[in-house]
Amino acid sequence: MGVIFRDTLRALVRTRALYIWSLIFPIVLSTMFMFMFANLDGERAFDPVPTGIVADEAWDASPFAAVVDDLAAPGDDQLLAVRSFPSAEEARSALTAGEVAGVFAVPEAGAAPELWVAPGSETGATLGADDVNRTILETVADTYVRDADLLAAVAAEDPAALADPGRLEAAFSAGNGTEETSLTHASPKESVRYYYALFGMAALFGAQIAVFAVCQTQPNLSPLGARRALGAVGRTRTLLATLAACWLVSWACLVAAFLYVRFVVGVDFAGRELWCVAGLAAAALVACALGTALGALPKIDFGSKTGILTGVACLLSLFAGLYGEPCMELADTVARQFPVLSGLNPAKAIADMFYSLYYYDGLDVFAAKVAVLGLMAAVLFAVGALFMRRQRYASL
Amino acid sequence: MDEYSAGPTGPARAAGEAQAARAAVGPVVAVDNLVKRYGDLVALDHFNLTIEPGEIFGLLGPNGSGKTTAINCILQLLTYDKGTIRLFGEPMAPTRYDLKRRIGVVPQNVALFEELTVRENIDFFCALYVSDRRERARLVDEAIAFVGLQDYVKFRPRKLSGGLLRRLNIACGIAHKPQLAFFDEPTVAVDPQSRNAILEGIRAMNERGCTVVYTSHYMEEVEEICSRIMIMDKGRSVAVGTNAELKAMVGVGERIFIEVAALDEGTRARLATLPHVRHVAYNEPELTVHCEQGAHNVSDVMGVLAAAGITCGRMYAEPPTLNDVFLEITGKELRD
Ligand SMILES: Nc1ncnc2c1ncn2[C@@H]1O[C@H](COP(=O)(O)OP(=O)(O)OP(=O)(O)O)[C@@H](O)[C@H]1O
Ligand SMILES: [Mg+2]
Repeated sequence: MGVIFRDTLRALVRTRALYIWSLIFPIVLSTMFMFMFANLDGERAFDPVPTGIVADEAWDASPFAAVVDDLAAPGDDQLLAVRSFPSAEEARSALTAGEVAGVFAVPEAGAAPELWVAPGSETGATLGADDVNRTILETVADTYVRDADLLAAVAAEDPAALADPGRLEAAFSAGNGTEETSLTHASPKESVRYYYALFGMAALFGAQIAVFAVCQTQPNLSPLGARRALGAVGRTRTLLATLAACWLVSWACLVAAFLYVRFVVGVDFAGRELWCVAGLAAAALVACALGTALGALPKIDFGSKTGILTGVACLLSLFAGLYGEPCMELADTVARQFPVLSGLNPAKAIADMFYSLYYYDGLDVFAAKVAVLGLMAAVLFAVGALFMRRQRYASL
Repeated sequence: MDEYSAGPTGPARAAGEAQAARAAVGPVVAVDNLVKRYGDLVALDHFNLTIEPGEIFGLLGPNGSGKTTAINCILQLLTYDKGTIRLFGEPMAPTRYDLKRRIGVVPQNVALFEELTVRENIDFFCALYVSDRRERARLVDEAIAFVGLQDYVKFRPRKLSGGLLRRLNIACGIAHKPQLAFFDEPTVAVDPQSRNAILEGIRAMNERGCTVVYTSHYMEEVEEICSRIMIMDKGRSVAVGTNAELKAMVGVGERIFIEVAALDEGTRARLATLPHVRHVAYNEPELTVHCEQGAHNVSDVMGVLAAAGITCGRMYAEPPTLNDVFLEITGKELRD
């Protein structure tokens, strides 16, 4: 059994074609993601927005001043870089000159704050940094106005507690402010979800390793399988040793891709790298099980099985939201409306497993996701075993 | 295989030794009334086979006659519709690993790990029978020397020539020193030199006490190494016996070829009426005379020609072949 494990491992490691899907693919795709998200995430890291304020008496009297002060407090989460102008005119000329992205002013004591942006450039007319900066300022102003009453009441007692920049920041990163940021373990970044979905797809592609190896153990699937069945080693032991080797190779490929994504692409895993590697072991197990079930199908050659696997992996990844924002929305919608269906998707389960590490403080959700993956693996292995339980065949 | 110095012994001696062992053990392979169907096609039709210890048993039959099917049924890879199979006196089943441990198989189609080297491949298959690492290392070395692949141990199969690949295929099947070995057409697509080396190796194994089942559709090979031969056709055994027994069975004798300048009808008729002559054909300038077994066929024919005053050119006679036997029984050539 040890020899079967060793030699299967050897053979798999030397079968270069298997790396294309299991290793090269996630590395290439994550590299593409890195360039695609470079701009987006750069902005979302909130380089402080150059902001002008008209620091007159009305401003000083407004609770909004305290909010802006706090948003401008130096630190990692500094949102605004504030320049004070004694008069509205000076502020406007700085705005026209492009020195600031926008100007906040309070027209009269007790009034709501206003936001001035450069004339002739409505939001959406341009793309890029200016646009994003303006959006940030608009959101700051809107959020304040929306909650003005509350803010005013609280500000009277404890302005610092109220003007929590994290709260506003979260409002941007979560898109529509729907996520409960107080639960968040790390500051959420939308792009990580694509990388997590990528691991779902990489794991599914990794199933090819098991498809390949399983075909080589079954008499009805390959001449080599027939020959091996003549030996004095039981079929179950052969299969177990083979699958152990497949699992190890799948896992190694995923871990290698993970290290690349973590340290070269620089994706944030909320400092839980070891848990991620453990989670990848579960993902590799599902990959092996899927490969076993698919590999065991009789009367279909290896090439066709690879084709089927590619199709399945691409489809399931669609519902894990891999292919961009509309796709992610689709995945979220499906997950909300058909939770069971979505729960059966191993690609989604693997992506969710990572997200649970990233998003939640505790490990309960992660453990639950791993358990689900284990269950999926068990079912898929059982399906494979059903096809492989035959000892003799009507024809080879 | 060259360095393996097999003595000039052959099937005769092996069969003799087998005689002694036979009484004690009984047949190594006993197949009784085996029927195997692929859908409507009857691949084995009440097939019987008994192989005694120490034999090199030849299964000779044209393509599709059921040789491989018979072996795969015996080895329990295939289901069968009817019949019993006993190996070493015990009923064979897919999980009889104790019996499988004593068997070696060289399949018709080369089946190896593409990604493992020559040595690793042999070691892998040997490990399916022998778990002790040190013993295995020794067996693998022996097998490599046995098939003469010493210079290629680090090669992957795809870098080996067809003949070397066949040798590797053989080494993987017999490294564990089985007591019973099946060779399914091991010499297909192999040059004469490699072929001789392979046959030599099989003989050597047999001398060490291994019972061999050898399938082929090359009658020359089978005649050369097999102590007993079964001729198969359409899933049935049409004749079993030693080479000489088979030829005696159908009574075919030699074929005589003589170059003659011209042959008149009278002489031709006289030749045809000679006691052991079955058929006379003249295709200028070659005269062919098919004979039954007889002690002085050649001199009889030459006598008639001399009496007619015909001068003869080149003359040679071919002894009967298994093809003649096959032709006699089935009415068709063994090889088309
Ligand atoms: N898997 C299969 N399905 C259907 N028919 C088959 C199958 N395998 C073999 N046959 C048929 O069974 C018969 C016996 O085939 P088999 O392979 O045993 O012949 P063979 O004597 O080994 O021939 P060869 O000398 O070509 O190897 C043939 O007619 C063949 O077409
Ligand atoms: Mg055959």
